[in-house]
Amino acid sequence: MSNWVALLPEVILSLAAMFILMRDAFVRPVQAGAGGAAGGGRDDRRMSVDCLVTLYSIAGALIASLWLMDASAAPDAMIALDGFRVAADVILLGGALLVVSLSRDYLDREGLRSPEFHALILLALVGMMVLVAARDLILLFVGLELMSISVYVLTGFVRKNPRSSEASLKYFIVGAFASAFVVYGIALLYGATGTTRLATAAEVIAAAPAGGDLLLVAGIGLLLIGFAFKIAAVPFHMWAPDAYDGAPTPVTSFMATGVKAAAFIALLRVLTVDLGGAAQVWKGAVWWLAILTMIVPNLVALSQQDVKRMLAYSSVAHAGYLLVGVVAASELGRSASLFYLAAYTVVTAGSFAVVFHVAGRGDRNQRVRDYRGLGWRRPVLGAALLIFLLSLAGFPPTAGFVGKLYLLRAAVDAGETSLAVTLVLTSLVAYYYYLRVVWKMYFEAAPEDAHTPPSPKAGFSLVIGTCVALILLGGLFPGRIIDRARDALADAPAPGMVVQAEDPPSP
Amino acid sequence: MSEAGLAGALGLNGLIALFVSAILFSIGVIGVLLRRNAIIVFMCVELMLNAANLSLVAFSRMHGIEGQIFVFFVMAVAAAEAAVGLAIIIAIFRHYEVVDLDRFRLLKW
Repeated sequence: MSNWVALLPEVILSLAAMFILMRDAFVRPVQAGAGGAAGGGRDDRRMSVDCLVTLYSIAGALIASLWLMDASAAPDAMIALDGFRVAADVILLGGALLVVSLSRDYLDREGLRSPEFHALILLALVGMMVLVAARDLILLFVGLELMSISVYVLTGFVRKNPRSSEASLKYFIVGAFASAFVVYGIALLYGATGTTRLATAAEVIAAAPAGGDLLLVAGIGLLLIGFAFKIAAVPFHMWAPDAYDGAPTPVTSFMATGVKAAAFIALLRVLTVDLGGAAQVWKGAVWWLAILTMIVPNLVALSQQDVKRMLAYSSVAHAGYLLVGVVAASELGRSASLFYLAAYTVVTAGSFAVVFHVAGRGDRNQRVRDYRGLGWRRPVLGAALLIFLLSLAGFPPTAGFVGKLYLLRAAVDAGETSLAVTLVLTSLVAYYYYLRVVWKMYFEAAPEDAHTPPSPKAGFSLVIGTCVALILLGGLFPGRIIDRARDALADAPAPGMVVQAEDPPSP
Repeated sequence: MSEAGLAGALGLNGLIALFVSAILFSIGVIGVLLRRNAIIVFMCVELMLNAANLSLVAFSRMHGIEGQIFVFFVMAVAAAEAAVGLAIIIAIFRHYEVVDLDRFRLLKW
């Protein structure tokens, strides 16, 4: 197989992004005022085409990724071509598919008709996929930056809104700061190992005497700080609630699903696989990151009155649960993290979509008290949000519950009992703020003048329904998915793994 | 590789470059943490990136060309980042008429 085929999904997405941008250059939008209603109609039509091109190209990239499943690359290639990459691509592309199809309503409502929105989403997606597939530190950095720079712009997409601009500036400053740490970390790793290829670096590290090299320790430390910023792990999380709160809600959902997932998957692979030989260097640090990231945001979220901001803190807390899988650093830890990430992506895309639907024009109604009686006024929407919140909280029979269970088992198997205990305790704390919204929805009456959200359009309902179905399927039949995930991750599973594969927990 | 081995492979000039790069990086970090003007903070970030470039070039004296190639990538990305960053700073200047990070208080926890 010629080499460029390995990049087929990325090529499809890049071409689609360029098509959307070039189309905008040649098909002139009617200037406001000159065209009036006719101009609005043409804008709408162009928007639909952009949206369809985006959705089709993401679907095409998804098919291309699955088609690449059977391919394999040389172990020292720059781009990975293995099950891990395919699993990561499925999570990223699936999440993007949900986010883009759900965001159509929001863009119409808020009058965000620029074609750049879809082009930037596609380019960010290319960055994420390069980031998770990179087997070379140079490529890793380029993917990380392509993703980050696109998302800085998306965060500030509503230029007229000072909140959006402010979120964008904060995200940009912190993101660029984090990127500089990543670059310096990579420079030191290169100095310590003499190569930018991760596979070769892993061999060098495995051959070297343990823990003696100052350059290596500093390099891993700086790389870890940079990635901790990107996945918003405490104490490097202070930008996340602001950026998530100020960004347009579909972008928030894209950041909470795609950006976090991509940075996390890259971290998972680089730390546990390539730098696995230097585990004693990073394990303690990641352990503390995991503990803090589970405790702090869950406590802060308790006092939040704004549902979007509460979900932002909850998303930070979920990064902590995911880090437990990194500390476990086993095959089970990796597949548990990926399963959790998949479940979390679907739930997050769905819940943010319900939030912006309920919030109405200008995002006016997104406080917890605006959800009073929602479960009776809009039963279907309420039921969907109920399922999402239960999955975030980790109740059976949802995928969130199964994901937590697998993470717990990975932690216990790796002997990290204190992490497992913290995970359970902080999940219990989190019940309060998730269930508070459920309580408002079903057990408090709405005031007379309450804003009732319009009933959702058919397309929106269909995608939300898909999210709910995926979560319930993942919760009821986790064994098959986990088996597939593990098959994808390991060509030859260790004997201990096979025993666990035959014993999936029944919810 | 031990520290003595590193010094041998890099030579005196290489070691000096590494030290300068570490100092530049620290200045950048301190600047980002202490300064409140968005543009100066941004310049400090650029300083950090260039500190990394200096180390990469220094290391490529002993490891070969890869480090220097990486420097070009970092430069290109830094240019893209500068374009986007300045655009964002202009966008927020239109709302506030200042670029002082402490004045942006719409979002807080």
